[in-house]
Amino acid sequence: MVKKGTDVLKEGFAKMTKGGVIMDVVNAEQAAIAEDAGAVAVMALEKVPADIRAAGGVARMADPTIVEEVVDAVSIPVMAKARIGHIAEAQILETLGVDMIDESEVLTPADEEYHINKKEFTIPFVCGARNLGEALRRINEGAAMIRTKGEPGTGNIVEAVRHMRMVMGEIRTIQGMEEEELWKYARNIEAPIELVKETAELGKLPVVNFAAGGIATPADASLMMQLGSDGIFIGSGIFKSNNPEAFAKAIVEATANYDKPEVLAEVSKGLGQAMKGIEMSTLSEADRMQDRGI
Amino acid sequence: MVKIGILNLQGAVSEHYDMTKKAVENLGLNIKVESVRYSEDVTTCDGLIISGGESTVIGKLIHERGIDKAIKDNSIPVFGTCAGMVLLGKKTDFDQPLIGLMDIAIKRNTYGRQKDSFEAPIEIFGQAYLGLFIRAPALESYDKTKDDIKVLSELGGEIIAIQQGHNIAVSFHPELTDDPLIHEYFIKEVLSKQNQL
Repeated sequence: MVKKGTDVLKEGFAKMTKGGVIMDVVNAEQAAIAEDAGAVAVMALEKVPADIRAAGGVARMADPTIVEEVVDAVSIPVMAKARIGHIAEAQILETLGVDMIDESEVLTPADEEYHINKKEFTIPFVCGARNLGEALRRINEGAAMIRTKGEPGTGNIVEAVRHMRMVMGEIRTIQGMEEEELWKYARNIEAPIELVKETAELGKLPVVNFAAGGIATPADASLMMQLGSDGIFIGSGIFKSNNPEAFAKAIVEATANYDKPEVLAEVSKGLGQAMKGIEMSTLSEADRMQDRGI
Repeated sequence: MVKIGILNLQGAVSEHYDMTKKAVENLGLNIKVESVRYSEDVTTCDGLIISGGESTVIGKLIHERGIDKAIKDNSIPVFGTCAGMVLLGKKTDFDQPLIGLMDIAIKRNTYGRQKDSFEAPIEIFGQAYLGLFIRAPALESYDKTKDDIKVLSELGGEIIAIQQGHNIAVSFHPELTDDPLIHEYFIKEVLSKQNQL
């Protein structure tokens, strides 16, 4: 019997992106630049996170025209963002032929209590997480891929590092635990015990785990790979830089050669100015996207 | 010692590594399995597996790192799955670097986008197998004048697995199942080439 939308197909799709870079794009032209540079997928959206931050107001799913334009422009997979808890936006994106949905804190949440029941969809979802509890709650809701939240649109890597280190550290902690201790740990982090046990046994998350939120330079991409990321999402970093083509290529090279400092040095040369970036202490509580949808 | 390399550039690499280890264990053989990233490492392999992932990305890296040349110069048998199948072909419907080891033409995303990805029972080597098709390619055509080409499996009129010499290309993902059947077959192909030398 032929089956679609099964867990193995959803999680398998995410596995095919491992070791790669997924780039935010706002039109067909940027999508083509990303594909040429060697992106494994593109994320179609209306504004990159830095512009969403600057514009203020309510950030929503991209106009379907933009999504379709990007879907038609490239041969690689296309992802798109839906607001947290916005079932209808997700349904629309699935209809448009998007390959994966990012239920994203970058957009203004539609539901402050509940995330989307991602098991109801044929296509897979990726969700952000700051720690193991968040990651496993999202996986329990059906997420086929996890990424750090970082702090989107800041060009500041510090939060993505914090979140990746947190998840990896928690996994190391539970690996040495007795069953009773796992029960208590699962309760404390508000995650299902089955997923906590599975993670402890695997020594890693049960799904692919990417870095996102603040990656601005080739060195940032290498840092996240060295901390154990399966791959890189880059939003504002590329098309907010002075030379997007060169930047996009350099980020791909840096991700593929993350353990070769001499290659990193070479690809980091003469890239021009990276995005300006924002220091965390200057962000107000309300401007912190990572605190949305926990 | 015979060594099977898993090309670790991008995609489902660790899954192939685990499945190859399992196949080696099942066959009770003393074979080394190693993740390889550069041409100098590929040169030391007796067989190479190219995973699924993005064929555009893997193809570029293969070309930049001279891995295609290393494979050809050393006549290393290759087993390619999904994106790996695309790369083994001589032709595909996009302008992208290929290795071109087999006289086959590939149609990328034959079955459509992710919402059309599917699992279906298939048959290969006379046995039932689970076919996992993720934005999968299929064969457009193959050179029927070549007598070393053999179709291994078909589904709904599309060729989904094919062999030429010791090279094998499949459009689905055996590394995501728990059945090492096709990996075992490839290992035997690598060994049969060794014995011929």
